[in-house]
Amino acid sequence: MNKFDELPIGAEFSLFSQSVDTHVVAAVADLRQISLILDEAVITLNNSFFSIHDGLEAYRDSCDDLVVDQVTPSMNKAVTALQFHDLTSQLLSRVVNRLDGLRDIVGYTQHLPSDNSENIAERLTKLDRRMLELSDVLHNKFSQSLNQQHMESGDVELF
Amino acid sequence: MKTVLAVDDSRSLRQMVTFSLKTAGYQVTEAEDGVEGLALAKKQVFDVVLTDQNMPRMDGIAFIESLRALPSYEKTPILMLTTEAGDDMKAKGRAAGATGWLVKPFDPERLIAVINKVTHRV
Repeated sequence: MNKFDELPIGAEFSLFSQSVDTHVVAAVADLRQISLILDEAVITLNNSFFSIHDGLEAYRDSCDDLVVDQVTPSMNKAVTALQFHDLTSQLLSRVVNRLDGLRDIVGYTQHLPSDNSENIAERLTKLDRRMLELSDVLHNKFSQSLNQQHMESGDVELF
Repeated sequence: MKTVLAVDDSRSLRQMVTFSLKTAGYQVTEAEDGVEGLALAKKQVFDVVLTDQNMPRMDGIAFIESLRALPSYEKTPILMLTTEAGDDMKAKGRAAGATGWLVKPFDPERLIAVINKVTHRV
């Protein structure tokens, strides 16, 4: 027999909610840690990139044009790739906000009575309605599109 | 020297925009969001404005609307540089007064080509 057996339904929901919440909180903490690591890494990468560029610029006059022609496309590719931080930060932020919203939704189950004294069917119907409302709010909040699947440059359109 | 106002809440993105445009001979001023961008635009008239969409305090669309309300920015090229690629958002940007839409990540050569085009440098 597990801890959910033989409990009033309200108490079961409460235990379920607490269990989900614990994991969501841990997931959010991991995501925030990933974000911090990425922030630190991108500062180092950018500084290194600019140092390399400045070093090359110092030798530009003495460099063969062929060398400059060979290096420039790689520098441009690096500029495009280094924008990963902006894209991944936005995605991480959205995931964190979604998980926070999920906590609100799951947390609502704690409003159920802890015993079976009330009409539980009626309360579950209200709960279902409220969870759908919260879910819609969350969906509408994050309806923006960020569909990049890779780091190739995006479309350009002049109106 | 032509001047560009680059508005983006991502520091690394602003660095890449500045780096790319400086190599092409533009003078770039950076702003963290629409509020700061608007304050800078009121102090100095830039030749081109490049803005992100999703930013704290004031997003790109609201920023463009505010800029277009200023007489000195009625005709200034304003380009949106954003991760947003949806047609609905593009339509909103166009209605707000955006001159063009560039989806991140950008390629430096293409960015320079677009800026050259809107400033009639080519």
